Amino acid sequence: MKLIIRIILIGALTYFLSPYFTWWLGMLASFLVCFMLPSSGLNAFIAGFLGMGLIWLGQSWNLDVQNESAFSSKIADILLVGEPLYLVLISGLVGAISGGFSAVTGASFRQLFVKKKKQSFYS
Amino acid sequence: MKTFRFVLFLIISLSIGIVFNSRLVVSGQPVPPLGKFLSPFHGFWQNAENDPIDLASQLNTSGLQDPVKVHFDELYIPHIFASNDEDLFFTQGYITAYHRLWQMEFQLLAAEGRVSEIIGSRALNFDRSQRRIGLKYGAQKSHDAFKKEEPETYKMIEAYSAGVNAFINTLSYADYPVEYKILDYAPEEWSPFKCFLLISNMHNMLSRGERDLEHTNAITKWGRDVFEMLYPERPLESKLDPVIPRGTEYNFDAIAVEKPNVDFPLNITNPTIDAPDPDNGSNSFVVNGKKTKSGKVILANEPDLSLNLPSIWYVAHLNGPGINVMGATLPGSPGITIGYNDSIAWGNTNAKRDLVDWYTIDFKDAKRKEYLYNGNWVPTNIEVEKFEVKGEDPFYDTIVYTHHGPVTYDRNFSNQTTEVVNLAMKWTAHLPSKELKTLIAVGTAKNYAEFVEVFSDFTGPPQNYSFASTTGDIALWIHGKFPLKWDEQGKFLMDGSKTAFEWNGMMPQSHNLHVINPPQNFLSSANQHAADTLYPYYQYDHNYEYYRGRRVNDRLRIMSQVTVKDMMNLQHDNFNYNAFEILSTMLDSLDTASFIAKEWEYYEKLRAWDFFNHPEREGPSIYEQWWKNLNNLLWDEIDSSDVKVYRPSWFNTSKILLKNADFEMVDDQRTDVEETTGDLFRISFKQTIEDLEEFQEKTKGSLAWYEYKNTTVRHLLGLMPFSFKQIKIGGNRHIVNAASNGHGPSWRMVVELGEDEISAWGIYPGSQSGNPGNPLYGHMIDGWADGTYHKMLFKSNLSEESEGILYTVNLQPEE
Repeated sequence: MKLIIRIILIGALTYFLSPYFTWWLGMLASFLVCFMLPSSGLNAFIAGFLGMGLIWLGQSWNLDVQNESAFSSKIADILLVGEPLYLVLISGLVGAISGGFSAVTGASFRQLFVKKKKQSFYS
Repeated sequence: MKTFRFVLFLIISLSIGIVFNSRLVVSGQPVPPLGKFLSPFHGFWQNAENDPIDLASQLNTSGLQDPVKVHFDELYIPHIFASNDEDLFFTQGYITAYHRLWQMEFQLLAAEGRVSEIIGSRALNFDRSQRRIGLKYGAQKSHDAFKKEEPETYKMIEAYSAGVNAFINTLSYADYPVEYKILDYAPEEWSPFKCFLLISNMHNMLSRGERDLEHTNAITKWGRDVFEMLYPERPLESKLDPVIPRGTEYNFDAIAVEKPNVDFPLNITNPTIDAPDPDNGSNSFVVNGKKTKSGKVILANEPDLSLNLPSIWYVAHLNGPGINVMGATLPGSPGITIGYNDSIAWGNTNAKRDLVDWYTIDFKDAKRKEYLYNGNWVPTNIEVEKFEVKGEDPFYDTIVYTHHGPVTYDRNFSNQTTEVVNLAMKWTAHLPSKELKTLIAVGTAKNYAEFVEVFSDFTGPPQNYSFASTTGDIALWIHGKFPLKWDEQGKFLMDGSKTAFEWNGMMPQSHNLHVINPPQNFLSSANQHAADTLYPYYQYDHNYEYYRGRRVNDRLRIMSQVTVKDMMNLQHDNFNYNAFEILSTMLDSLDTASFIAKEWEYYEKLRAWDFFNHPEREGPSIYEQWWKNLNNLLWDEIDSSDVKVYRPSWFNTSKILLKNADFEMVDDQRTDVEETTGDLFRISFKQTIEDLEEFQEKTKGSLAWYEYKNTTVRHLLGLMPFSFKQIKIGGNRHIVNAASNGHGPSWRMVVELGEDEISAWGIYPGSQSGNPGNPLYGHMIDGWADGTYHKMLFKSNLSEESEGILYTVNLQPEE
C-alpha cells in the first residue's frame, strides 16, 4: 500500500511539475518522496522506477497517439530505433532508470539522518 | 556503511543525470542527450504539433508601441497590420522567428564561421574559410557604417531584432525548435549585426563565383590557345541572347579604362575553398499590356537555389501607414526581397560578373607586418580570430589584412607543402553597403523613378531586376556596384604589389545597364551575358548561362495574348536546349549496323524523344547519362590534372564537339589510338547502356526522368527523415524549369498588374513552418512540382472575418 502511495506521489509530482522545471524534475521528486517516506532500498527503487517511468511512458504514448506517430516516426528514423513504439518504450525506460536510482538515493539519504537522530536522542 | 551506500547511489544518480543531460557519441554517431531529448514534457515529443499553428491569440509583449494584428491565411502566411513602421518590423521579426528561428540563426552562424561551436572540430575548416573570405569582416564594416549613416533605417533593423528577441524570450527548452535539441544548444540573442551577416551570406551565394586562380593554372599549363578554346568569353556570339536586348542604346559617356602594359603573374595555386554552387541562378520575365490578353502587365520570377528545408524563403505581407507590400522574405532580414506593393512588382535574377579578384602579396619577412606595394613597404593589419569548438579548446587563426582585403591563402591556411603563395582577396562584398536600406525602402516605391532611386544604395550581390507597374511600365535594371575594369582585369591572378592591377573605381549607377518599355514588349533575364559587345564597359564572368535565357526569349517572342497561366507554364517549361542542339549529331554518329537489341532499344527511345524533360519520360534519363559519360571521356585531361582547373560550360562543350572536333583534348590520353568525336559518342553510348541497366537493377526502379534525377528537398542538416525525395518534377539544370537533384526554383511568383488591381500567385517547395513536427511541414512541395500556384491574399484591409483568414493573433504592448 505504501509502495502504491509512493508511486502515485512521485508520478503526480512528475506529471504536474515537470512542465515548469527541467527534465530531471522527476528525479528530484523521486528523491524527495523516498527521503520523506521511510522505505527499504528495493521498495524505493521500484517506486521511483514505476513512478517516474510510467508517467514518462504514458505521457510519451499519449502524445504519440494524439500525433498519430507522425513526428516520432521521423525521429525514430534519425535515431535508428525503427518503430515509433520503441521510442515510447525507450522514453519510459530513461524516465524509469532516472527515477529508480534517484529514489534509492533519497531513501539511503534518509538512513543517514535516522542514524543521526538516534544518536542525538541518547546523547 | 550507510554513508557509503548513500554516496554510491548519489554518484549513480548524478551520473545518470549527467549522462542523460549530455550529447553522446555512440560508435561515431552523435546522439542527443537522452533525458532532455526524450522527456515527454521537454524533449522532441513537445515538437510534435497536431495543429498547424500554436501561437496564442492574445500576446503581450514588451517593445511594441501600439497593438498589432497578424492574420494567418490558409497557407499560414502572416498578414501583419501595424500602425507604425517600428511595430511592423518588430512583428515581422517576431513572427518570422516563430516559424523559422533555428534556420535564421544557424545559417548566420555558418556565415560568421561559428559552426564548430555547435558540431565540433569537423566544421573548423569550413569556419576558417568563412572568416578568411571575409563574410564576418564585410558584415561588420557594413553594420558600423550603416549605424552611423542611416540612423532612421537602422531603427527598423533594431525593431526587427527586438521582435526576434521578444520571441526568443518566450521560449523555454521545451519550446525550442527540434534542431536545437538534436544538436543540444540554445538560441542566442539576435542583434542587428546578424541582419548584415545575412547580406554577406547572400553575397557568398551569388557574387563570389569566379575561377581566376584556375584560369592562371590553365594558361600556365596549356597556353593561350587551349585556354581560349576551353573558356572563351563569348562563344558563338551570334547565338547569345543577352539580358539587355541587342540594339539598346547606351546614352552615357563611358569612363575610359586603359589597359596597362603589364603581365599577369603565372603562379600555380590550388584554391581549396569551395566555390558557390554554379547552378545558383534564376529566371525572371515580364510582358507589357500589348502582349497580354487582359492588357495588363505580367511579371514572373523564380530564384533557382539549393532546395532546402526550412526553405530559404518565407512569405509575408506587411501593412502599415504608407506601406502595403507582400512577397518572399529572407528569414533574418527585415522587408520584402522579391514581391509587390500597391503600385509595382519586382523580381530578380543574379547578374553574374567577376567581383572577386586575387592579388599576390609579398611580405617583407616572416612577421608579415609589412608588404610590398608600389615600391614601398606598407603596414598590414593582423587580427587573431577566435573559434569556439564544442568539446575542445578554442582555436585561434591569424588573418593578415592588406588594402586589397584579407590574405585568404597563406601559410596558416595552405595545405601546400611546397612554396606558399600569399593571396589577398578583393571582393565587393567587403565594402560597406546598404542593401538593407533598399530592401526596406523598395516596399514603398511607387513608380519607376522611385524604384531606380531606392537601388542607388544597393551594392550587391548585383541582380537583374525586372520591374512592372500598375501604370503599365516594364523595365529591367542591373542593380549593384561594379568595379571599372580593363579588358581581362581580374580574370587571372594579379600582382598585388603593382598599382596597375588596381580596380579603377566604381561604375556610376547611371551607367549600369537598364532598359524601359522596349519595342519588343517584353524583358527577361536568366543569368546570361548582360549585353552585346557594344556596351562600352568590360563585362566578364566565367559562368554565364547559355540555355534558359534563350528558351525564355524564344518563347516570349512568339507568344501573344499572354495570360497568367501562360507565364506559369513558361516557368515550368521543360525544353532541353542542350540536348536539342547536339543529340541528333550524337545519334547520327552511332554505328547502327553493328547494334545489338539493347542498343536499338535505347537508340529508338532517344530518336523518339521530343527534347522535353517531362517527369515520366525516359529520354531525358538516357540523354543525361550519355552526356555525363561523354563529358567524363572528353574532359579526362581536366579531371586528372595535377593543378586545379575546371570543366568548360555545357554550351562551350557542345560547341567544341560540333565545330572544333580536331581540338587536342578530344583524344582520350589514356589510350594509344587517336579518338575522334565520333569515337567518344560511340564509347560513351555503350557505357550509358551498361550504367542504366545497372541503375534499374540496383534501384528496381524505372528510367522515368523524375526517378532517375531524384529531385530532393534536403533538410539543412542533411537529415533524410526531415527531407523529401523522389519529387515528381521535370526540368533540370540549364532548363527553364531548373529543378535538378538538389537545386531548383525556390520561389515561383507571377504578378499581374492592372490599373487599380494587383493579383499575385506564388508557391515554394516547403512550408511556412520550419518545424519538421508540424502537420504542414513541406506541404507545398507536391504542388510546386506539378504546377500548382496559390493565389496570394493581398488586400490593404483584412480582419478576423475576412475570407481566407484562418487565425488571428493580437499582439499587445506590455503594460
